[in-house]
Amino acid sequence: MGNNFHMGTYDVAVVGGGHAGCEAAFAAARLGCKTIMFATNLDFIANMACNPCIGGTAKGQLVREIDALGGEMGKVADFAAIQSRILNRGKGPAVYSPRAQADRRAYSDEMKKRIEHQENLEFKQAEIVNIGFDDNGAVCSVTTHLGARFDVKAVIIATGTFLKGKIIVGDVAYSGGPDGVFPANELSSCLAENGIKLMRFKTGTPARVAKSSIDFSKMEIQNGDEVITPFSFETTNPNPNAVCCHMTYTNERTHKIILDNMHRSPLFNGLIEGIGPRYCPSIEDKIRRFPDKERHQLFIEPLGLNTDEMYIQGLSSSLPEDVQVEVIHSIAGLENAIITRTAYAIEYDCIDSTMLYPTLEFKDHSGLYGAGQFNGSSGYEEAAAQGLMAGINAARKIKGLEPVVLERSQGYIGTLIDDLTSKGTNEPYRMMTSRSEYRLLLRQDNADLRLTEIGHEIGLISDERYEKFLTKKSQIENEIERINAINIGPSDKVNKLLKSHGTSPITTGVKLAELIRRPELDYFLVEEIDAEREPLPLDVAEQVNIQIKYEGYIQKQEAQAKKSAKTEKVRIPEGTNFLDIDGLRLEARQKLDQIKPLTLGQASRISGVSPADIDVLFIHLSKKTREENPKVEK
Amino acid sequence: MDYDTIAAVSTPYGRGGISVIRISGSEAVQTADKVFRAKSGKTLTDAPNRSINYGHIISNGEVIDEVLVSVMRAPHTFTAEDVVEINCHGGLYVTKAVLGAVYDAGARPAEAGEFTKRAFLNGRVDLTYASSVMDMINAKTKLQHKMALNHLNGKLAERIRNIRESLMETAAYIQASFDFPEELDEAEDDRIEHSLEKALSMMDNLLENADKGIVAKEGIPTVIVGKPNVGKSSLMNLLAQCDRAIVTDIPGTTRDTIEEVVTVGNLMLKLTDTAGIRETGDTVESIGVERAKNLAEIAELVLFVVDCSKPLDDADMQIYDMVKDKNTVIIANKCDLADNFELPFEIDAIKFCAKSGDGLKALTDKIEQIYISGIEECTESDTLLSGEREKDAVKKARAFTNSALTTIKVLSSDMAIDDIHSAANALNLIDGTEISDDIINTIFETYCVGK
Repeated sequence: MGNNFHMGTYDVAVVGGGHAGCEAAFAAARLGCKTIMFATNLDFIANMACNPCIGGTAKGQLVREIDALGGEMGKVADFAAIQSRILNRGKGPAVYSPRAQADRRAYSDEMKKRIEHQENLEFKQAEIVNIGFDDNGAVCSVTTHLGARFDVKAVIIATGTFLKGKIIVGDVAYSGGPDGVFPANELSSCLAENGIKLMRFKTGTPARVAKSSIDFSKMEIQNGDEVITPFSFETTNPNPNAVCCHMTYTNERTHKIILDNMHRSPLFNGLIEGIGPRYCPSIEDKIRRFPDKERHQLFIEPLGLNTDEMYIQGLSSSLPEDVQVEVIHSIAGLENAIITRTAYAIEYDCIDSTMLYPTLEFKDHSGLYGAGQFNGSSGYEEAAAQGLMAGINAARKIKGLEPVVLERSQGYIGTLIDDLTSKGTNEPYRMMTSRSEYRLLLRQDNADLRLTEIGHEIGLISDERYEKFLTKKSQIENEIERINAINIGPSDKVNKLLKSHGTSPITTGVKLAELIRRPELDYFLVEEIDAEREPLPLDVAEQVNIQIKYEGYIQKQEAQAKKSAKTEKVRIPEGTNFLDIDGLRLEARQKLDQIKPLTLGQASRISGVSPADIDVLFIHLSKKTREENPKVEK
Repeated sequence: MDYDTIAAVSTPYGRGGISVIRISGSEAVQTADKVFRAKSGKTLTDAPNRSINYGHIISNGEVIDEVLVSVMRAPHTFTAEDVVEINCHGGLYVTKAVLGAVYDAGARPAEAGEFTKRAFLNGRVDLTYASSVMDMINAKTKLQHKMALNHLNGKLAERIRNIRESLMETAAYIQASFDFPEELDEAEDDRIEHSLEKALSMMDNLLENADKGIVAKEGIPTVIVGKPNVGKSSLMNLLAQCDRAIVTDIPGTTRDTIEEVVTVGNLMLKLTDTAGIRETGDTVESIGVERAKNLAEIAELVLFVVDCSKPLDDADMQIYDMVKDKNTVIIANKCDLADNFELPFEIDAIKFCAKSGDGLKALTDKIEQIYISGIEECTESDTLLSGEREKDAVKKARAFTNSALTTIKVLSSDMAIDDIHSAANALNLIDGTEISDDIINTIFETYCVGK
């Protein structure tokens, strides 16, 4: 590095302007930190480099949680939404998942506009090539490729797939970032020099094709919902559906083309070294692993309203371009498709996320935080969630406040970060409802009830929004209390209603809540026999319905959460020497020493640490506490 | 801290005349109240602290044992929690039955060293004791695991594994459908109910045979019946002597009989000896008949002894009628004194001479034939659950599975999934499998999902 000059002093620098970087920058700036965000290309702020959609299973829940904490993603997604759906309608409210097709240019432009208007926040087009540390190992500066040094108190790295990005198509491989932009090739070596362990992950994206070249008559239509549930709890008028998606399938011929050319896939010719995500398999991987499956579903999704380009969901590939053309042309409706962007695989550097505390701060580098794909996750929503928490915790550290760590039972955000920091991941980590043991509590419908209070305490939720939230909360509580007090007698009117819904009539008085819990009924269907009912906003009524109807199930899981909260609350003092704890198995000592858990709950989730080890650790901690405070002895 | 309620036998199994079952935890007293009926009519909840209460343990409406129950309330107890101790009769069968009732009432089987662990964590045990508590937890966990592996023979372990796998596959399918709703065929949805029903029937099968398993481990309850002076005592002595490895003497449930566990071939018999009762006067025959009737009812195996040197009489025939539908072996004793004899029974008799021991081999073979091959016909001999703890685990797994199935039928699958996991976890207790989170692996290995 030649010319190195001081260009400014900030509290927080965010390296990267993607989904994680934007949330981190907003949070830090809003919490009063003078913040600067760097992106290698300012036309790619919050770029959707892969599918043009936000939300989906577990991810929709994440977006709702981000919104409840005061993040930006939900609002911008509502702004850019062009078709919205709730997935899993038939499977129960715990797994309802909002998902929206977004106009990706509108999304990116809106996010950029909001950043431009955010107080305390500046942004700059530059590649960060160096992070400076002081003598104590704490972060103190970042330097751009042009030699401009910014002195800072905290740095949040959110480099996505840019670090040493390598694009691979068939036997062609070159250095590059996503969507045709430059990679960031220099920061990796600076991180490695500072003892940060890097890994190599891989992901990919399918081809885009021109709408005018598609024969939609050979495909099935997929429409959006009639009544749209927006992501943000503040959005009152969600965008109507403006487009539809289409469905088509691969066929025998497609599979034959792929099998005949499998030897040309970079997965087999050694070009790809990185570990790809299992939930995002390329089409060649699906065909190799599931040879008996006759066809694979594909979705054709528009990239936006002002473009003709369409995304082929399900056809991710790193086969050579000539094979891709043949494959696409073998599919019903795509026989004459014009390919505008070729599918590619991308390999990039990321970190071993167990180097981070659950605050997302590096254990060995005070003030340095990681977020998003850099931490080994995948997906816009996962990235945004981490960006938000990293931004919050960086700001709180600067302000001398306690960090905020969400528990697994409080949100998918807590689950995501706990998984990454306690267990680590050996493939790009995607959020799934299967990763949560508290699925029934972590619903998309109650994200505000779970997290608005915390968002307000942190300072990201305005007093005005908080007041509105409190009103909603008390409306829900009052209505549930009112319903629980109602007894219904066996009148003709009641029994007529019951029979009309195919449920058995009553002969003695029953609680209205019991009727609501019958499989055939719900809160809305008993309105006729609930004489005193006052009109309530739909979101309040829906919440009342869910909380009454599923009460028993929800309570059971709440009890479970309460039980594990006991171990979550047992703190392990920083600096505990796990290697010296008598009675712990060697493997457990080493694992604990590596992860350095902050609570007993976190320790219990580390692989290789058994329940007996946790008992021993608990006893050790109790012993320490008692030795230090002998008077506490009962 | 506030812990759930645990229970275990806190005296050595099968030793001594009294067993103590200790229950500890926030619900200890309420749990005990569910199984205890005090003579005074008072509940334990109303009983004074540190009181001893006399009454009965009731399970499914039946009296299991006559007991003394002490109630000790927190914090001045061994664990610093509410503790109830049930003093019951020391026979293995009774102890297990009482413990089983306590589990059914809601207590969880205590883990190795758990009472001591709680005592320590609640500040009851001295600080200097800490490291030995830790050592004990580790040592006992290892031992327990080893024991779990040892007494779980291949086929039972395989059964448990199959049920668990079936449950986990169902869970994986449901969860895959939550996470990848667009990629799974909805047509396959019936298979959820189908496979839960299959798991239920596999568990039913295990439970039906559970009691046989428990007796196989602790000895098959066996009685020797027959008229007075046909040679029952000689047979008892012969069986007791022929194997020096007498496991234990257990004063039994009825005060006037003695139980003895002996091994015969590859089986253990818990013999109830009637020799201790004096047979006097003209009531001799009626006592013989009456006793045969009572004992035959509770026994699993009946050894019916006749004196083939004398003609059979009505008493013999009456006893025969009572026991012919049980697992009965007829022993034609004193065959050395009989030249030729024919017995009017449908069951073949074994020629026997208790004095010389002639016929012992035939008797052993016969009993093994009944048990080992007999069980194999309906299941397999070693797929039997062998203890209350295991039985409790399967019962709980069954209840969870049943609840999941109902929820799926009447409500929605999101509310059912936890019960399926709970069922699988309950089974983990049997073979010591660590709870694993490989459901996500199962999903990706089994289904072609992802974009």
